[in-house]
Amino acid sequence: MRTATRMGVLVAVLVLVATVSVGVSQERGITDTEIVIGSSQPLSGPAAFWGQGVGGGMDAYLKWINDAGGINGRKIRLVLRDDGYLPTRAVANVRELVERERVFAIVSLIGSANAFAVRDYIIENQVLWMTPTADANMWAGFKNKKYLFVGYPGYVDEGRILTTYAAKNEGVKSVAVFYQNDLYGQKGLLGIKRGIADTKIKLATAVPYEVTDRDLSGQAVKLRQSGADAVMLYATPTQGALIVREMAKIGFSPKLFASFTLADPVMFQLAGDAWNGVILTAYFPVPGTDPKVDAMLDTLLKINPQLRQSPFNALAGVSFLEPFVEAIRRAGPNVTRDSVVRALESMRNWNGEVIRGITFGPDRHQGLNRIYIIKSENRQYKKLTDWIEYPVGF
Amino acid sequence: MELRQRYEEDLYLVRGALGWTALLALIALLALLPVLAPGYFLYTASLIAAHIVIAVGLNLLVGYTGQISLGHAGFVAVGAYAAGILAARLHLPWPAAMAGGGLVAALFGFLVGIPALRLTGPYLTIATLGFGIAVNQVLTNWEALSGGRSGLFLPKLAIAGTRLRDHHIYYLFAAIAAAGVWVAFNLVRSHIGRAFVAIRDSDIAAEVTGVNLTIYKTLAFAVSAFYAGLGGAMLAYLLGFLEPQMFTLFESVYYLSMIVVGGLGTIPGSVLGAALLTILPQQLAGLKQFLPLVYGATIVFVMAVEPWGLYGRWLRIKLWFKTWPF
Repeated sequence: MRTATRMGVLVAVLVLVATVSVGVSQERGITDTEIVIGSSQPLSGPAAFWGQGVGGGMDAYLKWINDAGGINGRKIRLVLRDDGYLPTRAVANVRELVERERVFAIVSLIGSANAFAVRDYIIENQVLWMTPTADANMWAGFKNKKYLFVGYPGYVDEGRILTTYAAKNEGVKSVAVFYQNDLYGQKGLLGIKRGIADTKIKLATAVPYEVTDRDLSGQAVKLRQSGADAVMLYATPTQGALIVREMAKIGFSPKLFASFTLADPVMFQLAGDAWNGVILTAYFPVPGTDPKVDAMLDTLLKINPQLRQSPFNALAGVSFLEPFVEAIRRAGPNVTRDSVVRALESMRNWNGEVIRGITFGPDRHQGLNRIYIIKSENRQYKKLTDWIEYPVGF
Repeated sequence: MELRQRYEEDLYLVRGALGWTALLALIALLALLPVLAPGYFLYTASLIAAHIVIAVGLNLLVGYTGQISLGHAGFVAVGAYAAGILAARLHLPWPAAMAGGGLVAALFGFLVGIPALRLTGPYLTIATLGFGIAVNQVLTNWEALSGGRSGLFLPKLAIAGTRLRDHHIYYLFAAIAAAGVWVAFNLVRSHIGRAFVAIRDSDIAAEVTGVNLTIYKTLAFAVSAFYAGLGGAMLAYLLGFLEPQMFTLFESVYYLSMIVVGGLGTIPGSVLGAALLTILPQQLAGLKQFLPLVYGATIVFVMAVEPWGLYGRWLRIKLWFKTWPF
């Protein structure tokens, strides 16, 4: 009996190997009725706030697509796994998604460390990878990007544009930076320094914090002592809200600038009145400024009311999926990796419900090269500029 | 039950035909794993091997010598980064880099062991906790050394220019883990192991009977840190990428819970605990945000029904069969 089972397993493995090596006709993750995609997100642990919003948004968006009949008769099934923001688990998750769940594509994956840890595996196994949620500048000069498509901004470009705007349009003379001590914050700081060099204003100080910090009074005092007339924030909503409240408490009210990760409407609850008159960037229209985005948010909230706690992250999840879903639609009934790649590469200035202006091409896999500036006023965001473009890096 | 008449008989690691059959069956199973198990599981199996090395080392320190360490992720980080820097910056071959990772960690273990001579219980816990946090902070902020939060990439494992595939890495790591376990077994039944146990039970009594506390306490830290560093080097090569946030206080607690769940003061317990606590979150990853709840409940359950850990339960089962039908 045991030999029989073992033989069975052996035969199954051989069949599996045979199908993988034949491969071409039987595309991984595609059947006549279904397309399977996967993602690994921090659904628990220190970054659970992002992972639950993004993962929940993706899940709700696909439910909406599938309830309307799917794409060309196929439903899209998302297999979501928790990595707790740990690279060891992200690697294991991605390998299981590819080898056991046999997913057609990996979508998102939050955190530079996790993205770096799975990068070689995904590239070598020629898995389609849509928009790793990490600084887009990290892919500049990267060679094997055939199956990698990124519709997410680079923090360096963003920091530079924000600083240039502050100097030219808001008359800022010296800047203090409050940043998260990781790749996200450091890349933002690098961009701000480039903007400062371009506009010849002064960097008063740069004050880091750790993602686990909850008492930021020391940082607030340092920011005030620098005498800067503007403070730029590269922080998560938690620390972003804490620092503006702390600065208000000690009577320091500089002009505030912030990265798009703080454009979440949840900031109005967390920071209250201190979040008034803040100038931020956005890479898709923030809720409350665009009817299509608002309609999409309503749809998501109907499907999963819990997403009310992180509307921006839920919409970001949608923005990662939209170009992929559009490519599946364009690829028609014969969905293969190569037909989807061709469809993605045919996108020129394409607008989804949330993401806008996506352009891919055979030599261009950085789909997004523009952001715009917004300002918070009376618990609403107001558009200040039109799209501002930055150079395409890869 | 057999009668043991000589001390040497008590030292045998493998006893009787049944014991040898079980051992050979285990070796055969591990050797055949790449055929039996799907490819993605080989990565998890390699990860388990690295965790086994770390857990065995930690158990030598905590379970056998009674010196608690809440900063073990620090030693793992030191080993991982030493191996990473030796391989990526100095271009040493991987066997040298891995050994180097273990040795550098052992040196740090020796240094942490010195204050441990005067500290016990909660005070030692806090001291090792501080060490773990300090390592993490240094690696985060000393970017010239570690690459900081941008991380450090390692070259791929290769022998004579041929890159090792998943099953090669699995065999290599399983062999290292097996060697680590074998050395640990031999260590604990030697005079060194007996000195460790004597220190755990009463360090004053141990010193009175001639155990040099200075030597054996620092030795316990150095040996334990060597294992941690070697395990860290294995992790580094397995992932091919290092980042300081991979080695936080959370990881220290994770390693400690491996040996507590598996069984304190037992080598097989370390192996079982490392395997269970690696497989569990991986198999439950589909549960999404409920994972920590189920994971935590499982640990509580194991501790509640078997305070001596998984290996304690195994011993009871064995005893039950040995004495059956009485």
